[in-house]
Formats: sequence, structure tokens, C-alpha cells
Amino acid sequence: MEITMSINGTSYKTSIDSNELLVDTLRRLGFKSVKRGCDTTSCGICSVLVDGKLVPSCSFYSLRAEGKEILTVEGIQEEAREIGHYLTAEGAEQCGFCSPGLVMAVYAMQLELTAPSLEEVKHYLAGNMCRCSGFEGQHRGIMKYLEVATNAN
Amino acid sequence: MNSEKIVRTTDISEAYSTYISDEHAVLMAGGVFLKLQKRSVPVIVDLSLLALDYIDVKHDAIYIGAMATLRDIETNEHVPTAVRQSVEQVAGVGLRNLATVGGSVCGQYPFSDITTALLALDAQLKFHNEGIISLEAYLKNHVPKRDILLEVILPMGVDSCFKCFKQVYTDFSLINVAVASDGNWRIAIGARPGGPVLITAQSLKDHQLESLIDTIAFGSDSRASDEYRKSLATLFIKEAIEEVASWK
Repeated sequence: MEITMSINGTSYKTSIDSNELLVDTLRRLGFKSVKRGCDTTSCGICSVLVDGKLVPSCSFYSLRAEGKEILTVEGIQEEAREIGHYLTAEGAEQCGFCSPGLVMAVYAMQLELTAPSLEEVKHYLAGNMCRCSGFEGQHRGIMKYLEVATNAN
Repeated sequence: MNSEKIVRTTDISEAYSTYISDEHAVLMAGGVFLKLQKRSVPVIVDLSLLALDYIDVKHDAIYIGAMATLRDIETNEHVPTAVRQSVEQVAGVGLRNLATVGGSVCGQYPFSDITTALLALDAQLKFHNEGIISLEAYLKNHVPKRDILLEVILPMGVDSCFKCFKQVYTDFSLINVAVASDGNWRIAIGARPGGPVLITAQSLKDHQLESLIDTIAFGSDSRASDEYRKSLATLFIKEAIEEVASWK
């Protein structure tokens, strides 16, 4: 079957299998930031935004993307670089495998919450796992990023 | 789960007739648990185009469409406290943006958090074919009928509270309890083998409560023992009753 969706602002028409998952469709179209981690909606690594909402693309059937706007890290390179800068400054990045999903979650959180507290940040990001650096450094980096981002607006 | 065909329709009658025309057909709500299953079926009926993703607040009740997501419920301040609290630690925001109340209830997962909260609040379920039945009756009838859940109806103005124990923040609960009171008390205990059960009482004094809790079989499995569940639940129920009573 054929679906039409917008990915990072560009319209794509593509042929999919009806059982296909969005993570596979996006990777086939060249959006390699989207990675399959746990494949059970537990780790958050495959996170993308669908119509502004954070979803794990490993569990989103591609046929449901018909007419939707998909956003991946390739579509928010400036913000991703900025968030990445704050994470690396806290030594919170090692292998980087989980980073695109975490960046998408931080981006989604900014769309939804205004000046969240550390507790709210932890609650929002609880579905994003990092296996090599732990979470304290990430939280420090994200809180600093949010402070600067909020003041800039 | 794979299927030979996925039917997407905006017409509830078509969705229902497709579903009942093949005994192996499966309904897809959020699709999260469906995706995890390693089996093939002839037909999946996708419910996402049926416009069932609403939360309508009216003066007598709150009507939650079966396709409203757990995140929709978490962030809607009109939804009763226990129900909002019950979804807060169901995996991450991303999963809660997909998983739906209908999928959670009709999947009849023994570990469900939201089903426990809905049971305490005496939720009514409106099905396409069967009409309205209570969640309590639905859970007692262990073989669900082949029908499509349209909405979950909750009373307004009932005080409620939900508590659960998880080993990590977003894990499945080892035990959960929900307490609701509109004068009479309804106490639901879930995340135990066999799914949620209900205790009702008109008034609660400590010794009465303990003898009521003694009637519950908490059950042991790989997550927790019967004894452990009982000691946690007893504590949670007492705390939840205190919280609910203090809001009056």
C-alpha cells in the first residue's frame, strides 16, 4: 500500500507493507538517526514526533502515519546541536546511541511544558534509557539547557 | 503481530462487522501490545479513525473515548484523581501517547494500573453492540464478548486516590490499590495474579478493614509473594483512605 506523510517538512509518498513499523520506513527513507533499541517501547531510542507528540517509532504502524507530520532529529539539527552541547559539557555522552531519542524527548517536552522543575523533567524523560552514562549528568545538562533556552525566548 | 489485511475505517458499523465476520480478527487500539505479539492473524481492524479519542466532561459524568491515550488522561484535570495517578508511571510519555484506555481495559492485563483505578470508580463501559455494562461485571465475565468498546463513563464528584509499588519508576506494579468514596467506599486491588478485585463497605474502622483485606487472595508469582503483596496493599489502602477522607 501507499502512504503520504510529511517528514521534517518535506512530503514523502512511499510504498509500505501494511505490517511495517515507522522505524523501518524512516530508516529506509534515509533517516538513520532513528534506531531500533529494545523494540519493546521501553527504551525511547526510536522516539520521533508524530503531529507534535512523542512516540516510539518501533511500535507505531507506518500506515497510521498517513497524512501525519513526522519529525526526526534530522529536522531539528540546530536544537539537537545545542542540546548535545549541554550534554557533552556535563560528560553525559559516551556512545551516543541513545542521543537522538533523548533529544526528541527533550524537544517534545519543551513543546509541552513551560519551565519544568527537575522532578517534572525526570518524569517526562523516564521512558528514555541511557546505558552507558547514567542520568545525573544528563539531568544537569538538560536543566542548564532549559534555563538558557527559556531565557532566550 | 502480522496480518494479511489491516482494515482502516471511519465507520463503526463496518469496523464491527469486519471484526465479527472472522473469529480470528483482532482489534488494534494503541497497537503497543499487539506489536509485541509474535503471531499472524487474517485481519486487524484499526480503530484509530473512528474518532473515539475524546474526553468529554459533562455535568453528571465524564465520557472518555476508548481511543483516548493514557497521556490524554494524565494531562486532563477533569479526570478523577485516581485515574490520572494510575497512568503516571505507565512506561514513558511516548508509550502513553500511543496506549489507550480501551486497549488497557479490554486487553485485561493482570498488571494493569488504570483498570484498578476505573474499578474503584465504578466505571461503566459502553460497547457498540452490548450497550452499557459496568467494568465490575465485565471483569467477572472472564471471556470477553466480541464487541468494540466505545467509551468509558466515570461519575463526577467522587473523591479517589491510587497507589502502587514498582521496583523502578516505569515498571509494572507489584501491587496497586485504588480507593474511591461517594459516601460508600470502593477499594480495588490489582496487579495481582488474576487481575483486579473489589471490596465495598459503608464505613471503615481499622479492624473492619483488616478483616475485609483478609478475604482477598493476593496471590504469588515471579514478581512478588502473596504475603508481600498483602503487607504493601494494607499500608497503601490505609494511606489512600486517609487521603480521600482528608479531601472532603
